[in-house]
Amino acid sequence: MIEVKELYHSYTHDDRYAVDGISFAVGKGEIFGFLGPNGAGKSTTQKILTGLLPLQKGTAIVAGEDVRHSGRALFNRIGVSFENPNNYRKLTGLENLQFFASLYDVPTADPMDLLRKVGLQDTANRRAGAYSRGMQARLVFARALLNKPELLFLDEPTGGLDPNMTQQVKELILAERERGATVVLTTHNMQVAEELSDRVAFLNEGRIAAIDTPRNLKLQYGERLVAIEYRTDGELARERLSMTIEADRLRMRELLDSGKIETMHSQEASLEEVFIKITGRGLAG
Amino acid sequence: MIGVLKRILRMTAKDWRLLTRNYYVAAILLVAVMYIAATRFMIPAELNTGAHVVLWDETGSQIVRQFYETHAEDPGQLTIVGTAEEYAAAVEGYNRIGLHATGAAGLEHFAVTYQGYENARTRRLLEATLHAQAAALTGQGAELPTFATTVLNPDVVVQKPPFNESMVPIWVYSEAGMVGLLLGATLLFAEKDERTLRAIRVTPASTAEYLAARSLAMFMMGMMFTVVVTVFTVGFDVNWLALTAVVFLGSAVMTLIMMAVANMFDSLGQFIFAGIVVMTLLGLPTVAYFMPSFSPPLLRLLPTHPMIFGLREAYFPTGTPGLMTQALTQLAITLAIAFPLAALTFRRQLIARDV
Repeated sequence: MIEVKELYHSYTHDDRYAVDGISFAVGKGEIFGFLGPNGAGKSTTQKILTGLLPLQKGTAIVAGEDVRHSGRALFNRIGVSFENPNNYRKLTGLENLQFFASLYDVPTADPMDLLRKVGLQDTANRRAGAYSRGMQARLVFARALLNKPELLFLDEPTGGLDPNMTQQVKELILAERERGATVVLTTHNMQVAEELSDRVAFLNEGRIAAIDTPRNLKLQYGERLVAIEYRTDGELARERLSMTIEADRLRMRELLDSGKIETMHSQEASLEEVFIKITGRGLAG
Repeated sequence: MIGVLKRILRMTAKDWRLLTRNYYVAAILLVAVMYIAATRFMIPAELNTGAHVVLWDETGSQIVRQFYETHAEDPGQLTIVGTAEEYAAAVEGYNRIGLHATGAAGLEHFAVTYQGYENARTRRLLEATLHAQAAALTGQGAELPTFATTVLNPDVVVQKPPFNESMVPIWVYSEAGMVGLLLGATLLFAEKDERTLRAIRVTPASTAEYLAARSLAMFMMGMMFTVVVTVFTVGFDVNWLALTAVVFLGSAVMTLIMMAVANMFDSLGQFIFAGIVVMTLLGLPTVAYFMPSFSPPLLRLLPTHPMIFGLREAYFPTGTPGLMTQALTQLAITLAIAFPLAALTFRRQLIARDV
C-alpha cells in the first residue's frame, strides 16, 4: 500500500535533513506505527506522503500512485487526521463533517454516525470553537474516516484524550483495519503504538533506527527481567534482575535460597526501553 | 465536472456561512445603509463649483450690468453693487470674483479682483471670457474670427447624473471591489489560524476550486451590497445585466489578486501593510472617475479602471457604443489571466509555507 525508497526532505533546502534517506514499505491491511520523539521526522514523512509537502528526493508510492505525480483523486482513497485539531470553529461539529464530506467524489459515511462513534452525538450542533481540545481531536479523527478510506494517516490520534476515549479510538482504529483499511500511525505514545501496530519503525533524527514487529524488537533488544520483592530487617525491598546477566542470576539464586522472597514476576522490556536502547534517547523529548 | 461544481458550491456555501456568523454580512449591510443615507440626505444633487461674480458697473451706459443681467446662467451667482464700499464688502468671500467695469459712456476698462487661490488656468479662462465679452460689448466682435463646430456623435445624449447619484458607482466599486476582497483575505487568515486549509488540502478539492468558491462568495456579498444601494439611491432604472456582469468580473479579479498577495503572509497583522499598498494602487482609477482628463495608459491597465467606468456606464449610460463591451472584455481578459496565475502562486505558497 505504501512503498518509500530513499526519502529525503530538508526544510532549509541544504544538507540538514529532517527526513534523511528513509525506506520502508507498508502492506495492505497493516497498522504501521511510526515512533519517535518530537522532531524525529514522523510528521514530515506523513506530510510528504499526503502531498502537503513536496517530495524533494527519493520515491514514494501511496495507494499505487507516485506522490510526485498523483492527482487530487487520490484523496478520495485516503484519510488524514492531524496532531493539532483543525476544525472550522464557527461551524458546528456536524456542519464541519457535512462540509468535508461534500468535497469527496465517493460515497461517504453518515456524519452523525461518525459523531456517535467518537462520542460527540450530544454536541453535534454545538460550534467546534466551543469544544474542548479532546472533543476537537475526536472531531478531526471522525473527519479522517468520512470517505471510508483505504489508507489512513493518523498523527497522534489519541493526543489529548482521556483513558476512556483513548480506548474507544483504539477500538475504532482496529475496526478500520478489520474493514480492510491500512493505517499509518504516527505517535510518540509507545503504549498506543505497541497495542495497535503490526509493525513499528523507530525514527530518530530523520532516520529509521529499527523496523519490525513490537514483539521482535523487544525480543531482540529488550532485556528479560525478574522483579522480586523480599523482606530484609523487617522492611520490604525490591530488585529487578536480568535473566541473562550472570551476576544478576547469582543474586536471584541467593535471594531464593534466603527464603525471604514475597513476590516474583518475570518482566519484558517496554517498547520505550527498546527505543532508548537503540537510539540513546527517550520518546518524550 | 459535476464533482468540481458541487465542491465549488459547497465551499461557497461554507464561506457565506462563515461570513454571516462573523457578522461580516451584517456589517456590509450597515455600510450600505450608511452609503444610502449619505447619498440621499447628505450629498447634494447639484454641486456648485462655479465662482460667484460681484459686478460693479461704473460705465455711463451700464452696458455690462445689462449684459450680465440678461446672460447670467445662474442669477444666484451674481451680485451687483453700486459703490466702492459695497464692492469691497461683497467681493470678500470664498470663491468670489470681483469685476469693476469703467468707461465714460461704453466699456473702456475691466478690473478683476481675485481671492488669490485661483489657479493660472482659471484666471486665463476668465480673462479670455472677459475679452470676448468686452469685444461683443464694444462692437469689436465683428473683427473676431468666426467658429464652426462639428459633433462626431450627434445622437449621444450625455445626461449628467445628479451629483449624489454619481457617487453610487464609487460606493459599489469600493465595496464589491475593495472591502469585499479584504473580507476574503480575512477569511483566509482565519483558515490559516485554524489550520483548516490543511484539512481541505487532503481532500479532492483543488486550489482552483477553493479560489473560485471564495470569489463566488465575495461576488454574492458585493452583489447584495450593490442591489441594496442601487435600489435605494438610483432606483430600478439601471442596466442590471451589465451591472451584475461588472460586479461579478470585478470582484472576482480583485479577490484573486488579494488572495494571492495575502497568502504570502502568515497573519492579518503582517499582511495589512501590503494590503493597504495594493488597495491604494488599485484605487488610483477613482481619480480618473472624478477627473476624466487624468487617465494615463498605466492607470487604464489596472482592473479597477474598467470596473469603475463599467459601473458608471451601467448606471448612467452615455450611449457610446462599445464602452460597456470594452470594460467587460478587459475585465474578462484580466480574469482569464489572473485566475490560473493566482491558483499557481497560491498553491506554491501553501506548500512553501507549509500551510
